[in-house]
Amino acid sequence: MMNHDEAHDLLELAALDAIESSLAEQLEAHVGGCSQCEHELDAYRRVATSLGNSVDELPETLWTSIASRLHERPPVTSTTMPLLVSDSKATSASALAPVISISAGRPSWSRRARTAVSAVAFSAAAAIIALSVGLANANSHVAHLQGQLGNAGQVAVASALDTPGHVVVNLTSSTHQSLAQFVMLPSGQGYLIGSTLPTLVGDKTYQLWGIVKGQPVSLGVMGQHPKQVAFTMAGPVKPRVLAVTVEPSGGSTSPTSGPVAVGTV
Amino acid sequence: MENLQDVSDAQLVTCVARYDDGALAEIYRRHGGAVYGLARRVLNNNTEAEDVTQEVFLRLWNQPERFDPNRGTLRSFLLTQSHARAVDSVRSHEARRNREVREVEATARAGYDLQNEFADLIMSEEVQRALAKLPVDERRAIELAYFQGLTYVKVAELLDEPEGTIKSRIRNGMRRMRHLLSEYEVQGVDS
Repeated sequence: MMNHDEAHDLLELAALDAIESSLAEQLEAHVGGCSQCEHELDAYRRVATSLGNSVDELPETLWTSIASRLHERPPVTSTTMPLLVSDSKATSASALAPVISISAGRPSWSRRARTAVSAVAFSAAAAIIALSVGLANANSHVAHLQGQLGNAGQVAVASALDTPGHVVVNLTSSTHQSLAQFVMLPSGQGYLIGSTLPTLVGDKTYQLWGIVKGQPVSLGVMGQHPKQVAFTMAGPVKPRVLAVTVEPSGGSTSPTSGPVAVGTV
Repeated sequence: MENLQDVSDAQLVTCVARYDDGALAEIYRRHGGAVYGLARRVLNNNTEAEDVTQEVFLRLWNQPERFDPNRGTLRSFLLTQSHARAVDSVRSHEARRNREVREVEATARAGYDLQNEFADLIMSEEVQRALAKLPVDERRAIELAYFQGLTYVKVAELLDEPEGTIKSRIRNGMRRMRHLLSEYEVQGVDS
């Protein structure tokens, strides 16, 4: 049995899955009974998953493949398992069923039918995601993007870019594609310099957020095809992070979806 | 039922526990690209990455109670699963079987706050910046271990360095990044 010091010595490596499985097994046995190691391992795992948190375009047929397997029984292993259901007469297969409060006896045909519907619904959702993120072209060159603005916008942005102390913030997707650039002034005013955010369809709008003390604060609605956006940040505390989300028309009081673009000030 | 796109990750996992496959589809829509992306990066193989992604979501479907919101976000949970399975695939089928056996023995609670998901990508950006600032030796060791699926022993062999050296580099680098992350969590990003 691994002692506390031995386990503690491996936590950073375990979070990266960088130890042999035999060691990982011993470590997990210790962590299961040690809240300190559990807490630290969770913290290092957050670091590790943040390293790998980038989004790839999903293969078209992958969800269909997953959906088709939702109603298979979970695989049975030959190793003795603890019972996760209370029925002492449960078979080895049902012993591995998920712990649920209702619906265990729901007819499988109804789940299959809903799977087909949700597969179709997912295809539509995937199309929206592809529009939102996948088709954007990276271009972080401020001078080039300024050419996309109208005269009034150009004057405001040019003035802002000439103001001492201004900061240019580049907002990128999780795949590091540059999607929007803002210039922010010490006074709290900010302007959109350029955007390659794809045009939204339906009752949706882009919305800009500042992250203040870890919480998103709305800086304004940007519309379906942002070209000229101006905003003012009130209050003594200025955000260090800007983010753009897709929200229902009219905007939201708090984000209803994950950000499509994020940038550090 | 309200529109699933407006439902928090926590509620979706609860719905999955009730065999709501629409909820699983919505979780897949939100996090599938990240799960697949990480598996693809480790495996460098699209087909195997699809297999890992499929396994991660089927596992969530079959064992939703394993997600414990007190231990992190749903995105982090799914990425941990994706990475572990991808690494198992890189190393051996035997390792994968052993991990599955251990994990079936674990259970967790349900309930979650979607707000966490919003912070994930921001935090990821911060960590990526921190990684770029690490001494090159530390960054190299961490990247080889995480993205190539290597044990620290294999990293040491590859770099022709003592195991203890590689272990120290990985630990120091991870501690630096964790420190940055804890500052973010405790003080907020604009402190």
